[in-house]
Amino acid sequence: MKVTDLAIAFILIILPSTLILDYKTMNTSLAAYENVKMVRILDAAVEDATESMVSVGVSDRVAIDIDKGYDSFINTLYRNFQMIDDEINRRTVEGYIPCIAAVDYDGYYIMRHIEYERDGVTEIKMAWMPKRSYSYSDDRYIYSLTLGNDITVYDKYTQQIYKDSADNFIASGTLPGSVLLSDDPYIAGDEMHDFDVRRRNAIIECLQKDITDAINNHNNIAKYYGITYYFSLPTVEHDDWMKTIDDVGFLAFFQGMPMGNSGEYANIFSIGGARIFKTSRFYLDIDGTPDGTGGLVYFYHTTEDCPWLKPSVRPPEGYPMRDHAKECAKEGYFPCEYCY
Amino acid sequence: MPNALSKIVAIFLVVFLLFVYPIKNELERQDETSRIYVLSKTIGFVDSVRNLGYIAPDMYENYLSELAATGNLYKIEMVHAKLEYLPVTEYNHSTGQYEARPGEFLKSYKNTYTAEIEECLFPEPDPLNPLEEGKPYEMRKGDYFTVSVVNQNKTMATKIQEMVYGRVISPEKIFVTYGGMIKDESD
Repeated sequence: MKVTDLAIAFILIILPSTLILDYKTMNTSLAAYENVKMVRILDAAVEDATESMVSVGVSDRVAIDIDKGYDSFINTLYRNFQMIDDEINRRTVEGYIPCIAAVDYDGYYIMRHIEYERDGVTEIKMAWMPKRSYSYSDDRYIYSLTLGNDITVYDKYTQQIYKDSADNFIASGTLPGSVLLSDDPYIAGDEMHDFDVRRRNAIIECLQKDITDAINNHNNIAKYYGITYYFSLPTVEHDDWMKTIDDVGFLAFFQGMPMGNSGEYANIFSIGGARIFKTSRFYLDIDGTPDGTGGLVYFYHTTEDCPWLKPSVRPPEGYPMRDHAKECAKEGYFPCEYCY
Repeated sequence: MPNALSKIVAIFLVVFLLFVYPIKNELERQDETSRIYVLSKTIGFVDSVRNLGYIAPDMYENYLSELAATGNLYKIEMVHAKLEYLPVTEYNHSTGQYEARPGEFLKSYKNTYTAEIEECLFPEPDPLNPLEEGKPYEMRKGDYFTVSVVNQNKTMATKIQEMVYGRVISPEKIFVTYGGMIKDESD
């Protein structure tokens, strides 16, 4: 056998597998590209939704308009898919959105597909569900939580309703035997810290439960859209949940859209926060820190727990705070090299 | 000579396997890279327009030169959908005129396309005022701005694919559409 014959045999064996692999790689990389694009598009849509949803109403109260938010969201999505006047494809895209959530200060709204009867025909439509409050309960009390410290409490024994901020409740001791406001001996930090942890977990649990419900329910709906994808809640990191409830915001899921023809499906979500309630705070070190040459350097810190911010000299009313790093710099403070 | 045929076959195989196939693969990778590059540049351009509320001539020029770096020719379509509130009018049979229905309005979008936007950024030189420069194209909060990019030329990968597969392949390999709402307006 000559070398050329060997070479031809080699090629005959290798070529089919190379071609198949090549084809698969191309499809996979196209799917990866599509995924990157979809994530960006969904992020933009959610950004727009948060932007137009929030308006500051009378006396600085933030009002959210969920319909306006949804309009912007879906409009941006349609524009990115170039189907602004393509009713049938628009309906198809709706099928890929199992759930949208709008997070308000004292409750949340879920948008999901609902089936309803009209003129004897069952129709499917995306609709906002009524507002749900962030609820938490222990043996004696039922609480309605907010993204801040304000809580509303119903006492099952005395059947009274209290409304105040958590620190006032703790200070006055109005709620004896409350689990929510008690100090957990196994965790460092005072009652307020423990309350904050419990509050966040309770809110996340409420949201998670309803979103999972909506997404699971979408499996019954999706067949009408001709989608053969098993919808389930994607993995959302705990930090992302935390980010969701830092502020009024918008949360959207997008699943089941085929990405190219490699058998991959979109499974993404996006979170948008309006950044209204929790602004960043900077703490000023008014005493200054020795800089080693006999002088003093003044720093601003992002957290009160920064070890460079000496806890022993904490003024009784707390460290002076500013909202922006710019303001600190204007007053002659440098960013702390440890925590900033 | 029995050897001649096998030599010719061998030469064809060598040319195909050593040159055409690897080059085709390389060029296909290059197209993929360009696609991601064009996507990220387009997202960057659109996001900066959305955040600023206007298109400055140098922003657009910069974007074009970034796209040109991929060595392809693109068709760029910009659409600015301007948000407008219009009154709802109704034909009144008794007066024979269109009358506005009080308390109602209509939300609509008015589109402006690439040609008009480019005309604003880079106006035709006016003989009376030859030093006139282009000015930023301004938009308002709530408007939508979308850019879609498609390559026009056949990329090298497409050409080699056509040669290998022996059929005509459509040139569109890189297509990106991205858009969103304007968040801020310039004043």
